[in-house]
Amino acid sequence: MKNNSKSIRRKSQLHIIWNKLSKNKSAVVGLIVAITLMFIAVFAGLIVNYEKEVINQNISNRFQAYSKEHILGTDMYGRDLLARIIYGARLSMYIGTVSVLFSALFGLMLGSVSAYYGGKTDNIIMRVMDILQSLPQVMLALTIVAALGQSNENIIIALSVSGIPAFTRIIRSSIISVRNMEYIEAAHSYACSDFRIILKHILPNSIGPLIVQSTMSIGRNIMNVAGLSFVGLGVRPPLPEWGAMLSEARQYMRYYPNIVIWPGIAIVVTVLAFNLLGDGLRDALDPRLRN
Amino acid sequence: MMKYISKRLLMLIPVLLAVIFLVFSILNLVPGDTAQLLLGITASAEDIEQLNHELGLDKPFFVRFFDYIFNLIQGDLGSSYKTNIPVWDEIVARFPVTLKLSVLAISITVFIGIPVGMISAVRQYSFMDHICVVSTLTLCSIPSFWLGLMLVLLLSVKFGLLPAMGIGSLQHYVLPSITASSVTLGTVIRMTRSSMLETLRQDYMVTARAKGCSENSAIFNHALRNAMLPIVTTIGVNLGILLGGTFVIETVFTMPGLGAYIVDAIKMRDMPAVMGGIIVLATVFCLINLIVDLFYALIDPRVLESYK
Repeated sequence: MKNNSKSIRRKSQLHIIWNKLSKNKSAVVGLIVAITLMFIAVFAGLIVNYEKEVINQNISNRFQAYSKEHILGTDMYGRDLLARIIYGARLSMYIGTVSVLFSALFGLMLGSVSAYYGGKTDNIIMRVMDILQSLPQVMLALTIVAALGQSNENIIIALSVSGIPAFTRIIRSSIISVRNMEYIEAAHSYACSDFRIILKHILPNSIGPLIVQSTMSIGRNIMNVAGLSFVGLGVRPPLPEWGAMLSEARQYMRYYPNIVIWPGIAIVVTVLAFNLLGDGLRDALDPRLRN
Repeated sequence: MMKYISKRLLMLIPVLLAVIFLVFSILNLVPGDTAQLLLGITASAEDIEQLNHELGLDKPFFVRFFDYIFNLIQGDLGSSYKTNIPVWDEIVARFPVTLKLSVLAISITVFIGIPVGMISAVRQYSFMDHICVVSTLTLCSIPSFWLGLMLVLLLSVKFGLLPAMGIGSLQHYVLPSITASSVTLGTVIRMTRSSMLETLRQDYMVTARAKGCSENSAIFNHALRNAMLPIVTTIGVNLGILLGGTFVIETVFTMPGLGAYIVDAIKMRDMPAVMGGIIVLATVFCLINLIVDLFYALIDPRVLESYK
């Protein structure tokens, strides 16, 4: 009986959000594109042959125009451009989502501890966040890359750390807004542990802003990775990251513009999809706009 | 007002110290031995030790930190490991490029962003508004360096209108600053729009119209003035983002700015240069935040009142 009522309530809340989201055309487009990109990222290995098409150089085949065999043509080393862009989706999505996952996880821990305990704990955590935010996010990521050196893991670390303050703040403020609700008091009165109250009672009721921030951050991080790779401080060629591809192709763009046009379009489409979805989610989750 | 300014200036000191400490400690976490890196694999243990001693790298962390602060106050950021040129001189030579680029970009953003955001808010749900909403979201999703490359392809390569690289004349700054403004334009339009939408619905708008204000006066003197606070914040934050992010644009247009300097220094693991560059940018970032706060007091008398 208890389980049953719980499942009904859960479903109905998700239902409301889904109903609002599905009415928003651009958000649905964003969702579809994002899911498609996720699929492409996961199954990139089945769609294209990594060794043969993505990495293997074939100079005699370079700068091919659009054809049936190479739909977007080939780059300066004779590699299929479409195959590289497809594999680039895997890299970008991987770095983008994993770094957001880490920022969200740490932000969740720090933010909930900070908001729930308040006082000194809150003060210390928030001052540390203040210091981290006194540098622009990209600058902080750049500093961390400079310290740790260049590798895919270090870029993930850099983007994760630089994303933590924003997540911590958002989670803290949304938890503070539900902290004094009656149902938290009720949970206290039947001797719930702090951990259980945070996990079972506070978080589910303050998760909305976190979802929006995560969606937006995936897009932003994909863009930041591309930027870092473009200046040569991110993913290194010959790995098919979109920014790294642009950086490699740049010197040939005067004569073969398509090799700089398509990787850029891939970035724009991906980031736009996440932004549209994030915008739609924000509207759907905004309690002021409900009903 | 003077009291307010001096109070804010004093508050800046601990913030700056904290920022410098943050950058200093991150960059000193570097795995590996700097001297080893500079001398190469074949260097003997004595040489490495001696160089470490010369560079002061054998001292404890906090001693080095306070040494650094002490030298910093005297305008000495150390010398580059690679070229031996004082970092401060390099920064002084290069910072104007970065600053000029950022200021031009933020001016473009302000002069286009605020009017467009206002029109979009005043005529909410009109055709113009829809276009505005869609295009700002698209603008937020275009990576600046790619937009820069496309502008170069179109305007420099195809039509030969504008130079694609260097900093020779004001013309050289046109493409870079347009490109850089694309980073901030979207956010400023969106902020102006949402902030104006909020103030346009306030009761004082009804009052203003009821007492016979013209529509223009109601929008500019009542709605815009009250909407200005969050807009100024956004502009300030975005100027900071621009300063911190110009390294990408400087790379696209091969401009010898501070951002490009930091990127090169990171590639060569030239730590004094990296540290000096980032600390200068961080300081400017904090100063901008201060100026934004001072602007609040100018725009909103209520802020100033609370400090009396």
